[in-house]
Amino acid sequence: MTTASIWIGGERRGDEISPWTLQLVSGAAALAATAKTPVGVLLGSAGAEDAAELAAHGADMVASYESAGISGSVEAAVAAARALLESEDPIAVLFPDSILGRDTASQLAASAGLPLASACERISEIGEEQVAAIRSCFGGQLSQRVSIPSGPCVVTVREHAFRASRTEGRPTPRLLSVTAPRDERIAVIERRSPSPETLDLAEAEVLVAGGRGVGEHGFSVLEDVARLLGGTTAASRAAVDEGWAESKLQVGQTGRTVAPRLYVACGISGAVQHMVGVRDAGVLVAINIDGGAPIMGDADLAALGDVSEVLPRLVSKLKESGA
Amino acid sequence: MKIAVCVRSVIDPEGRYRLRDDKSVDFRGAPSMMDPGDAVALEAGVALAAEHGADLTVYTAAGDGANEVLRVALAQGASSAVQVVGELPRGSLEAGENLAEVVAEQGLPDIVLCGVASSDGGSGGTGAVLAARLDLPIIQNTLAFDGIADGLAEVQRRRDGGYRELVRVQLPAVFTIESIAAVPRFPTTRERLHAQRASITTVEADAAQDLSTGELEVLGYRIPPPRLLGIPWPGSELSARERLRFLVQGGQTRQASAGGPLTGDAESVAGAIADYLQTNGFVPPSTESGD
Repeated sequence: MTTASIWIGGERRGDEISPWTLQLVSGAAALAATAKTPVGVLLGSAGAEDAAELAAHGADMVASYESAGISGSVEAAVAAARALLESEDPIAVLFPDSILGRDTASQLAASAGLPLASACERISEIGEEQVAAIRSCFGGQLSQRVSIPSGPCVVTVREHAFRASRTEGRPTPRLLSVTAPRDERIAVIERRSPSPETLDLAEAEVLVAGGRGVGEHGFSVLEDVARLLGGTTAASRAAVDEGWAESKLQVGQTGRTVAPRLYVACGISGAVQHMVGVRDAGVLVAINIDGGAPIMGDADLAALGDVSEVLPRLVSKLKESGA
Repeated sequence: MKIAVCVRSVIDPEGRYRLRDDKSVDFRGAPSMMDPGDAVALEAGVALAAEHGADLTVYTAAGDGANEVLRVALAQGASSAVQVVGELPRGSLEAGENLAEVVAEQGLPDIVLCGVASSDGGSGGTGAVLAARLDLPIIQNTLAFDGIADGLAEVQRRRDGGYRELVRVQLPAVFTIESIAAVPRFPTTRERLHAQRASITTVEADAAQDLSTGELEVLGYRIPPPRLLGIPWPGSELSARERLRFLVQGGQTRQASAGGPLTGDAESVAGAIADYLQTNGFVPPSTESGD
């Protein structure tokens, strides 16, 4: 049994520690600073480099567990978190409010009989008595101020609730290793990469959208680009009206509202009715033959060119660069 | 084969509500309904029951509208319904405890289904509590059942970033069902009338009373502030089109790229876009790590 601590269930995006995890580490470290509560991070296959990165964001301890087989498997994460709960006696365990984080959090809370609060948008206190948070409810129409009895409790936190901050020269974190038997009754047979055939517009992190400028036969190239970037295709109303794309792919006022990390608009002029659907997109790249198209003024990267000439070349460039 | 589906009554998210001065919410103007996520789980259960000739029992924990929700479930295709009575659960943890007690009492089913998380702000703990108390494996975010045979189920589940996992699990097991997994049917008047006459079993449960840990306490509600930077209004220098655009976008404007658009031949433009995507971390590695 050790002193009270706060633990974060860390995640990776690709091989790197996810930015969301780093935000949580920095946020928890800032809240824990006054009471000098140590902050630990549980991360699959954590190495020295990961430990240094986590320490720079405020971690005092890093616990590694074997996530061999399939990366990010929820069963391995749950088993490790349960073992950690027994050995470390934390006051709170925080997870990103991602699918993996929510699944791990709910299973951990259920098996140990701990209070659980998901989708916290702000956390103002992580103490030995309670965690004070604001969470979204009723589909985002209301938010509620909650007090979660800690010692320990399980909390999942929305992205950008905290800001990641990096400080060089912090002490090397204490390294732990967690081993725990996984649930043998569950076997992951196959992990399928995102593909345009299965991805829903709302869950895609990358959308490659086509408009009238793409032409009747251009959508297959769009699919190639989407596949290489790990995303799926979308369309403007003009392309749907022409019958080049299915209506379920339509983005805009009369279609879907999306919030991908990357939106590549090909041959889309950027009419207001379309832009309403993509205003929460992270990075907007526009490829258009008309330099005066409204979207060229909105894009983070605007490229002047004929989509039918640029896209096939982009496909080969992306293949060359290893995608 | 036996299937159990756990459903809940929630306040219609589209209903009218009023924020009181003491920061509580008055929901008297809002009707209750079956949680949309649970309705999808029920539909998935009805489809499985039809395919495998299974018995489907629907369960709900104590609460307002419990009886009505069970009648809707019976109309949607459940063969029997059980209502848990007792003290009102304060959250998903307590509801799960009581449900687990009653589901176990009625004879352990092969498949237990529920929604991922209730739409009124639940934390998605009920399925996990059911699995933990019944000592069953759990598959969350289930998208489809690919096959059930020899005490094993093969299912697809949804993961972050659009990944899918094909998972084999030993039955009996608990599954939480994704909201896009099925479309709930709309019962006919005849089915509804039939459901009104069906009998509903009531069972007492008190497992939640033994819980030593507390549930989270709601201190107050508020309407989230709009995410705007200042109060925007369109200036008179804008054209009609620009003003419309301004209003529709809520005053948010994107930062245009510095230095104007990329120009040149298609080859160089494509190269510059590829570089940009690479630099900003949008080009995934060629093979998926850890696979």
